[in-house]
Amino acid sequence: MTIQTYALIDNLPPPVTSGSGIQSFTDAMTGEVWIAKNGVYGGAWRKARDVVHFHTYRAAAYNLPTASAVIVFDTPWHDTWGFSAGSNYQFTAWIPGFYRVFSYLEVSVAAAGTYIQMNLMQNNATNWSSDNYFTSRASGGLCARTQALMYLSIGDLVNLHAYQPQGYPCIVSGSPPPCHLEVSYLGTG
Amino acid sequence: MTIQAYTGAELNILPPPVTTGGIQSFLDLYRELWIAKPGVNGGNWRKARDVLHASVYRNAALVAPTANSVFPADTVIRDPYGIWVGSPTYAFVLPVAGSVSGAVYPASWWRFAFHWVLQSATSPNYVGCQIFQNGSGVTQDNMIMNQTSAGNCSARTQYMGLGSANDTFQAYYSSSVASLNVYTGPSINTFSCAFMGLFFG
Repeated sequence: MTIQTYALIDNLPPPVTSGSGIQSFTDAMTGEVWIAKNGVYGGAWRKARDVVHFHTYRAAAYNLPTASAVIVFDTPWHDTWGFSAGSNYQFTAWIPGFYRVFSYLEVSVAAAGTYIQMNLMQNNATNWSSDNYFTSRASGGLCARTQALMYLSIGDLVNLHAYQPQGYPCIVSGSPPPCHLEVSYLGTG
Repeated sequence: MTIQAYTGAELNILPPPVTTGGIQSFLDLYRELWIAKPGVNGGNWRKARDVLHASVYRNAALVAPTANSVFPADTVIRDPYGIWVGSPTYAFVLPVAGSVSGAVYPASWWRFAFHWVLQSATSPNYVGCQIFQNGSGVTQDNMIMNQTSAGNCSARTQYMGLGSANDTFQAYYSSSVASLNVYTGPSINTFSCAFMGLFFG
């Protein structure tokens, strides 16, 4: 009699070795969503919930717009998969699902009585959050933050729109610099 | 002929429960990170993303400092694997090598959040809060109190970034006005951490 041995169940597709862009696969047995990309970890599949996290910040001198406009981040941080897109380094969703999104801005004010308005947006068109922070101080930092649980489809963009009436400069010192946008994939929804 | 029944043991690829040592980890072939610790859940393996969460708060009376200082949380809400280190460090210490360090998985995504409230008896005032990783600030935030009468002033900050084994994460706080009390209690101030996933860097 022979003793039968079992190979571990591995129903993932082979590593991705051609093409561009991020590909996804849903494991029918567990429902887990995996992603792979040619040239990233040899094209091997990784769990989306492990690796779909994104953090981009502003490192170069930058004044906030005085009317609502997209905020131009300039440095994606540990963006192994290339989730950042376009000149604004916004986030691109390669898989559909729920995402937790947060953003923070801070400027140095030079006069009392001003504010920051900020909105998280989908495809530069749909608001998912709206926050406004005011200061009565004539100096120092004015901090603002906003967050949302967003449901995104493939190809959707996430970015921050904001303004500050006087167009004061963002704080860009620090490691990492404080003004940033972060996105985490939570699940399929 | 008998029909063989399967118990599921054939698919159990985890090591046996641990009975000695500290937090231990195991990366299965499906790239799920599991952890185990003697005395926690019977030493059985649990998915890191399920159990590596912890939250603490300050319960005892506390006066806010004017200099940026470590927030001395003194009470654990939930910390099943003991990653919170209290006095005098007051830090979350990421699980030891083998769980989120090493050649295969040198770092992981973590999320930290800190929120506290000052009982402000004077105005104007502002309060600061930060999260530090290994002694350096990785976030900053403050809240300004504009009202002219007494009230509370709250501040919060959060961080979603990479951490490696033995990294320390601390909450820092300050008030621009001296000798004011912190609003203490579990629903008023919290410092929390959550494992978000492997970076596979």
